[in-house]
Amino acid sequence: MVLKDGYSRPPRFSEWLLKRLFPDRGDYVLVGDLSETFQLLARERGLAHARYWYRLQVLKAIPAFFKDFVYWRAVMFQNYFKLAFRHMKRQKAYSFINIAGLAIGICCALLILLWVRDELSYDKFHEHRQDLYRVTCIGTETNFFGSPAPFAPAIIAEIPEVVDATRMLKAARYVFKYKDSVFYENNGISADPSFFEMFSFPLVRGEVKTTFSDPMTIALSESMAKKYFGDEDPLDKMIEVEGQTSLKVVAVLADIPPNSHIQFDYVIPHKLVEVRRMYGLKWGDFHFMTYIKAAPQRDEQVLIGKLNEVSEQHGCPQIVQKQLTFSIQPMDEIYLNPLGNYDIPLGDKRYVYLFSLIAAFILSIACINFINLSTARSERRAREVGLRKVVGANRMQIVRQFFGESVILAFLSLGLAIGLASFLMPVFNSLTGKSLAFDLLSPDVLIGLVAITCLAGLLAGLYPALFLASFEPVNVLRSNLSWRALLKKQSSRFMRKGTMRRILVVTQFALSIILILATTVVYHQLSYMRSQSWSMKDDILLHVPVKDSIPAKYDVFKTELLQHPQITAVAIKDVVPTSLRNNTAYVGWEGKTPDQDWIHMETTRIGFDYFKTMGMDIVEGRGFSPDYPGDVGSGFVLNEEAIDKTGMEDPVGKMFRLYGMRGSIVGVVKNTHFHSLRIALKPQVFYLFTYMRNQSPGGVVLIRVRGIDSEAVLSNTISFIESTWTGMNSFAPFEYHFLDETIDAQYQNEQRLGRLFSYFAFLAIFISCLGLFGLASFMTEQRTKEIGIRKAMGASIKDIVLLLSKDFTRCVLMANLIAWPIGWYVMSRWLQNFASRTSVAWWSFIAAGGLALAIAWLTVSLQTLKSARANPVDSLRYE
Amino acid sequence: MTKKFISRTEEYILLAVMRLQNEAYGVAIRNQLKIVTGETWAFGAVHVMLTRLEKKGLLESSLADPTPQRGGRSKRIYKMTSLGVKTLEQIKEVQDRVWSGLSKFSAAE
Repeated sequence: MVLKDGYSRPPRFSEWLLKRLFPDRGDYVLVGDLSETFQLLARERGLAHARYWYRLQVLKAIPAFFKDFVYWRAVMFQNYFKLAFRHMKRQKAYSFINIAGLAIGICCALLILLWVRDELSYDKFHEHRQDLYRVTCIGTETNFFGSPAPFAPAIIAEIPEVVDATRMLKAARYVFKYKDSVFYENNGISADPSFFEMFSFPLVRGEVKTTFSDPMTIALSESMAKKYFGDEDPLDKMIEVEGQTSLKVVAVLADIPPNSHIQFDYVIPHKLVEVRRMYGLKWGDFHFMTYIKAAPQRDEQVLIGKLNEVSEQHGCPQIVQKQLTFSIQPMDEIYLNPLGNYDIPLGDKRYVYLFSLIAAFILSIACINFINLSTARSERRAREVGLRKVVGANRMQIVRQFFGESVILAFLSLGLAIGLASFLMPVFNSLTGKSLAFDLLSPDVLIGLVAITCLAGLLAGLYPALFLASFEPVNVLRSNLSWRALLKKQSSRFMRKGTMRRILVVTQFALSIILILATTVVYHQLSYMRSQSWSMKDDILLHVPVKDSIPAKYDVFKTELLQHPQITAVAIKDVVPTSLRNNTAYVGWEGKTPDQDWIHMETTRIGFDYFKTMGMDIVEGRGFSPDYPGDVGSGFVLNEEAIDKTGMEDPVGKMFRLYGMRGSIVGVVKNTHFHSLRIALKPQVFYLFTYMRNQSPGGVVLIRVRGIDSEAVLSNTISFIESTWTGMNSFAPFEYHFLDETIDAQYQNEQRLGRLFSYFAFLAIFISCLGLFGLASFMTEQRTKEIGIRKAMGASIKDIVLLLSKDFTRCVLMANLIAWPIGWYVMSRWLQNFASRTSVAWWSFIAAGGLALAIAWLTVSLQTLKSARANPVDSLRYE
Repeated sequence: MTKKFISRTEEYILLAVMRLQNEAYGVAIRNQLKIVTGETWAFGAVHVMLTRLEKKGLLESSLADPTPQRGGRSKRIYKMTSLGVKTLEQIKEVQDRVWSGLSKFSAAE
């Protein structure tokens, strides 16, 4: 321990402890003195003795330290605690408002944070997620994620950075059968065998390495396997699809975690899709999704460049024409950055921000309540603070006391909030469509909760603590000084007139008004989208799947259905009208110039009477008709958008080409929205089925039923359809859907958003009013005497109520002025998401403002009316 | 000027500071006190006194350069203020008056 130049070091720990315990003026003179003496002792009587002595000195100091700091602090804390509870007990209403308001705020924040946490957790469970990408297409008009079937094999073979790749496609709604279990399965995908290696979806049984290359196989999720096979061993069993194909179960996967953006109940080999030629397999048919596993050493830009190069070499028309470029999207960014709309559940980064912001809004509204009520009540505490100061409390101690008090209150609220949150969890889950669990014991939730609570407590206590601690005891204790005079003496001009309190009320209401505004805009957009989407005025449209013998006996089915008096029209279509599945760039038209851009058209195969069934008006020419034999195989109907995009004039009779099919345009149909209005209206081409048997598996028969007044007639009609169906089909069970419900389902996200917004807006305004109520009752109590005198002098109840609510009215009006531009800006930005949108209507501003004002008045008048009606004799006798 | 009475301990410390001239800091003062009174003083006690006297305005202090013996920490050097010197003078006067004429003691010394 003896260093050069005779310096020996005092015991480290003791020295450290000494410094901690007695930070004399920061220059550690005492430590220096001890150290010097230590040197002396070490030289004279040996190091051991010196060290012994040094330690003894420190040891001796400890009891004094405890007495001075810890003990007294503990005593004071106990005292603060007791006081906090006494105050709560004495002012039950205020405490209730405080605690309940904060509890609701924390509960909201908690629920939202759980939601946010879940949104952010998507796709994080894949082992190789760092190397996984999805191929996207950056188009001139829209971005989406599709790629041609030959794309994946080509890039694996030709690009060294691509380690592996899989194609993926959402399967149509097939009927599955095993023994007596027959169900429609909506949620399947097809994929290459590499799918299982790239993604971490663990296998429970069986294996895929050697088996999945056989096209006649299938892998099931655990719950789907259970549904069909019960307790039997599903492995190597044959499951029947659509009554024509039998697939061998080769593997069972653990159920897909809810926080995966790829959701499925079964996987069939991609090869099956190719063998059956279910979709176009050329370089121009963008039906599939491609996921890539890239090499660890890669440059994303170089990789993207190579993807495009390879596709160009293979002659992918969209790439050659520079209409699209391929790009990639990292796996863990997919969920929150939705592109296009391919029936895949997707989140939205913006909603994550938005809801985090709302959580902050509501929490701050609750904190503002706390601040306002505490400062309003500070008169009652002023004398206490004064006395504390007189008997020796310093500023810091007072600050600590009030912080402590608000943190205690915050933790009480936390208890309440946890109870509330676990009670509301199921409601919240059904609102958000998630299955969030509220496990208190997981460390991040726990830490988050304590952090939120401490933050809320400290934030809420900040202003009262500093404000109260600044009181001069002389002023506070001079009993003849009135509260107002005291404030005048005590506080800056800023606080004197209650400016701070007003600013807080204004902020609170501004936040509430923004939320109300957001709610009205979301609902407005929703109803606008519904009004723009396809709808049938009087009639009802049902659709039943094209399954089993329907393709073969469609004509019989149609004729039989039309026998029923209520059924006015029947038509077959290749996919549900909301599906975005069929797109192609392989279209050509008369007058197309070589430099004209390629157009991506939505292709729609239909049967006769489609336009009649759907109520779509023909603008030019005519619809398809059996009277014109040429319509089958060489007739096309385009929508107005397609005519616009191609730039054709006088389109009827012009030549048109789709894939290899040549023919002429027979008519133009009015634009009709079937897809979500997030997506711009697409150019559409309609053409007739050539062979009914050659059906894609997602087809539907659309049945138009006359508008019916009674439920009984409708259900009668439906059972007629059912009996017709079962009379013809042996395999597929009957099912039907209402088309308007199918269309509405596309707006599920917006509906959820609207509902969530309305609840949050309600909560925000509720908490604000809770605070306003407390504040109003406090203010009227303050002015009891004034009111009494005014009444004695002849003021009417109306005068008094007006007088008392003037202040609050002004605050709420101010809040409107602040909230309107912010709300307008935010909601206009939100509306940008929609290809077809309404504007932010002027009346929604008035409505939001008016609602806030009305609620504020109502709240305040509860108090003011009471005091305005009080007998002046009582109020003047008060004190 | 008003008469300031200070405690006997404070007086000792003031005198020690005065005697040590420019070398009056914690360790030296403590040693001086030991020589004069024959007792070992706790550092804490010395520091409390020094701080109190400085607060009363009888002493002033400044930080000197750090030394290796102190583990690189500075000494706080104390100096008498004029008020301190005056106070000592007064006390001396009073003491002299109080003790004057009691020759028996001085003889015994």
